[in-house]
Amino acid sequence: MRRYIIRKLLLFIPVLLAIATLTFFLIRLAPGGPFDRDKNVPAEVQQSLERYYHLDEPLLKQYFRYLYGVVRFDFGPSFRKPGYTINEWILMRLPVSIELGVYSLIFALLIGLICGTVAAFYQNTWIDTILTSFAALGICIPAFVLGPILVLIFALHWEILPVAGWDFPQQKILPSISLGFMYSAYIARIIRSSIIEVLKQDYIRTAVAKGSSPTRILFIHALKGSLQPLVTFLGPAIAGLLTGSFIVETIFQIPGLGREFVEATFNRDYTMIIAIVLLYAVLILIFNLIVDIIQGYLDPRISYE
Amino acid sequence: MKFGINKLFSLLPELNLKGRLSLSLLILIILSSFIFPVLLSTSYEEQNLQLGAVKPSLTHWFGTDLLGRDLFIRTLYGIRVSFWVGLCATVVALIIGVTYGSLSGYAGGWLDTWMMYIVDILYTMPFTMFVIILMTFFGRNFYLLFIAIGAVEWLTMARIVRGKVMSIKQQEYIFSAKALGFSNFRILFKHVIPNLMNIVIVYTTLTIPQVILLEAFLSFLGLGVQPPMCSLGVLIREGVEVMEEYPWLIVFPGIIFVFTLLLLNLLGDSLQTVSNEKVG
Amino acid sequence: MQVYKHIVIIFILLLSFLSLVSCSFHQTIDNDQLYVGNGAEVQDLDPATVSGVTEHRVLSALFEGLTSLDPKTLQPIPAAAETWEVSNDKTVYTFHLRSNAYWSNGDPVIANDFIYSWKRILSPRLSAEYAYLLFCIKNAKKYYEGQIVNFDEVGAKSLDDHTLQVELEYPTPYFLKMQVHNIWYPIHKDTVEKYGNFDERNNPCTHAGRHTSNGPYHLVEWIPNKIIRVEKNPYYWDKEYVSIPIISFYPIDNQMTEERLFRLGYLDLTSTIPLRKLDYYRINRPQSLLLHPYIGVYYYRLNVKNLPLDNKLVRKALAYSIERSQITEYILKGGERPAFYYVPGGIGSYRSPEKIKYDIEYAKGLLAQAGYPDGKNFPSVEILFNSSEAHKIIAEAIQRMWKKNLNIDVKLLNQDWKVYLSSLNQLDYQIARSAWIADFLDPINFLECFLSYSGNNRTGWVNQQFDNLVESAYKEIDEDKRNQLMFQAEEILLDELPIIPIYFYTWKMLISTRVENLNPNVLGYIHWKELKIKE
Repeated sequence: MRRYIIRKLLLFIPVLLAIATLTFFLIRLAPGGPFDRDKNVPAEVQQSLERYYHLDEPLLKQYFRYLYGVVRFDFGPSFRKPGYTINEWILMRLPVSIELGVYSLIFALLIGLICGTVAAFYQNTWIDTILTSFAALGICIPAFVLGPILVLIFALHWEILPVAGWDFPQQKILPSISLGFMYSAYIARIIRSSIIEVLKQDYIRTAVAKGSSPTRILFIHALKGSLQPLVTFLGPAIAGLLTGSFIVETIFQIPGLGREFVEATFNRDYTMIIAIVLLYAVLILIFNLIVDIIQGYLDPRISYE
Repeated sequence: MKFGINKLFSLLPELNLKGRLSLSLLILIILSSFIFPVLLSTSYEEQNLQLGAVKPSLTHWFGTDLLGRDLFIRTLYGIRVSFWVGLCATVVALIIGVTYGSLSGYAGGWLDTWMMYIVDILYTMPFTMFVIILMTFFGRNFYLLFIAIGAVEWLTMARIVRGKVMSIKQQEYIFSAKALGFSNFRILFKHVIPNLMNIVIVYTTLTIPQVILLEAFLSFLGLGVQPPMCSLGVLIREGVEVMEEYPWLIVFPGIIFVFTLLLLNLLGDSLQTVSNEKVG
Repeated sequence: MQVYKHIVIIFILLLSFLSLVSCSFHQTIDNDQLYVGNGAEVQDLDPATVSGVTEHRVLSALFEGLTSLDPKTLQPIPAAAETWEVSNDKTVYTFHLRSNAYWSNGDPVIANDFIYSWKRILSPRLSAEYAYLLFCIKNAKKYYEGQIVNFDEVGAKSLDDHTLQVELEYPTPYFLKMQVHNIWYPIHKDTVEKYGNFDERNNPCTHAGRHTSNGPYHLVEWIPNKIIRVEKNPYYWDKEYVSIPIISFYPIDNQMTEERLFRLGYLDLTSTIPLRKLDYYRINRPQSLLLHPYIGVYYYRLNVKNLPLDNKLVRKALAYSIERSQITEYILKGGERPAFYYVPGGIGSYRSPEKIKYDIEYAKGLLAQAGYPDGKNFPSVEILFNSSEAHKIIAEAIQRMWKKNLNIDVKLLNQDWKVYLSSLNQLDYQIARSAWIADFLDPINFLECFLSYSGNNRTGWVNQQFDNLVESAYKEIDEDKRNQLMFQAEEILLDELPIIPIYFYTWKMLISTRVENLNPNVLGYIHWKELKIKE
């Protein structure tokens, strides 16, 4: 097990190197630089800016200079926001994105678990039909359709929740629902089918025959059985939640990293772009690893070879 | 593709009610997106600045947008463009995925290990971010959009195809073909790939809605297809901005978008069930 | 049925949890606090390195230049300088600074604070984008370019702590009016050097708690992408006059969100107003809607090196066949004025020649004369704009007008902002959407863009006569003669038409009824210390 983790962690290095390289050269190939403006920037100013940020050096030299910085966790200054370094900036904004992701995940799990279990228990009844249709519809409603509609209803029509912001608990409800909704539908589907699967198993029948209470069966046996497909789903889902936050952060004016990424891309803030891409890559890698490990515990048949 | 179409038709009669219903509705939607613009003979670009945005009425079934353009026609064009993007990007994904997957699965050994290792690495890349970077920097190009989206979506296809090829490889007729001295190339294209079609069709129908969703996501950030073309994603983006004043501009494209995705997903599901039953 | 019961309980718990947190929240509105929506997040709060309107709004509350502008008349009024004298040839300005002016940490504001700031800006390593605005100071340009090493030779001298003498390269009639631009603000030397090098771009001295300013307010809180809060500067010389104790700037880059927050009462001022909301405010809350002419012009650039736009007749035909009033009335709706000339009105005594008309028959004739009767064989032409809904709508409307009026087909191309800029710079376009918002209140700022050697020209258009006229306007002292020179220059521009003016901007903003004394002006300049909150 430990060897497996170490091996996976070592694998991170080439992956991250590849990502850094790809991003670095991709953004350098693009037309337009970070200092282009509506009003012309005089050539002398342009030159001294480039000199200041080492953009006048040969590309390969810049690349190695950058890699050397990354290795030391020094992502350099932001081109756009001269008052802060990239590290400061990311530390300020990453927690917001993580918070949003966590709330959305909690929401998705809560709704997904409840709907999935209910649907499975009342399989092939009208309750099941309603919930399954809800789930089928839910995976087709992306955050950029749901978010604005929620704002329209709850914030503007009824005025019970704030329109935007990220300071008070009330402001966090609509964004979390918008982001988590689609995943709750997926989770409901997964839970439903895996519980149905588990309920067919012999040991459940034995438990029922023995007279265990249905609640006990539900919580001890059925949910336990559905954990494994759920965890498998959560790996990519967390990556999706992270990147999905771009849109939700834009709609609700949340000062998170997703919005920063989109802005940095538009502004050609080179250092910021690579730093955020790398950070997200690391997060995705770590979550995938965690999922792998949990899967190993849940299903001893998986070998770590 | 001859095999593909034959297979598709062989799957159809076995579809369940849900699948048949969604397939017919999808065909209906696509057909109407071609027929109505001709029938109504209004262009999706035709503006009427004085008219501006008006509520749905008998002359404008879905109302008009800010420039006085008929939303019904625009939505139909949006459906066309979205499907077109969905289809083309899926074909890109299909070509890369099937070639890569079958090569990897058929070759086996260390080549297979390495090729799948690369897929594993690619899986962990934050692709959405790359697509955003790509579309911002070089974007606004219709073909780049297909390639960018297709390049993201081929991974799953490659994995599935590889698994299938591994199992086909163990079939007796492949052994006999080998015994007869057929070239690997011939075996791969004459015997292996045609047998993949079931699974490829199923995943194609499941990939199209993913692509449409991704395109809409990009359009929402202003990076999808560009004017004068409009996809459903573009219409939703435009609608969101004015949803308070002119709610029909978000309601109609939104409903059509969700409904189309739903139909595609349902169709994919039932195709999957059918092909599973066939195998099992 | 037992499971069912449990699930019902879980549901009820969940719902009660949601309703608990969702109880209606209302931010308390303080009577001594002004809430301002400020568009995008500021880049920085260093007056030397920033360049945007957003930053200027905050900086103008924090800093004070030598002079300020009267919000009503837009004439220079005393600010950090109490009085000043101008030499007869208008090239030497002597400013007498207030003896009671202090920085927000209590240090006195002295002449050297200004000189230090200008020296910093003129150091190439800082790469201040607006450094060229200081080039009107004698030898400033030479110092910047390294031809002079000793800063003492630059025409800014401190005669004593409270007397500052500025010698100019040539008489600059707008010199005093320029002082409201943040590039002219003084800076606190010790603060800058405590947290970084003198000419270091990435200097963290602008964070809250470190920032030192000389204006009516000082920085107390800056959480990027969340809030910038400024409080009345206790050391400000005119602190008795400053009425509002606290101003909170909120970076809200989404116009719709900003408008909603305003509508629900969370904001007092906004940075703009979304197009679709104009009608609502006009009908329901006209007293909250501020629409005022603004010195900015929206125009289409034509690449005169490119077929068929190299032909003056074609350019003219295109310019004369746009029905501008349609665009301003039905698309923009914010009181924008159709532009039949280039320099927006309302700048001093200058009046522009109104040369362009809307005349389809004339335009058709011109097009036929150019060899394309009824649009026949007209080469393909493309309008380039940066991706934005507003530009798209206008481009689509103009595309239609040219089709209808001239029967020519024009394509649309949008590019990401930075790609669009690089296309402009490389003259890699045919027709491109553009705009100019004045840096300072003088027509010359508009005209100098089209000097053949100006980096803002970007059309490939070169006209010696135009260059001569603008250059003589630089040196002319007499106001009438100067206006005459600029008038002639603009006439040439409008005859040659390397650009097609479309409309003049309006300053659009929402303002709550509790805010008083705003005094809208063509500069869009808010005099924060003048504002009052109605009890």
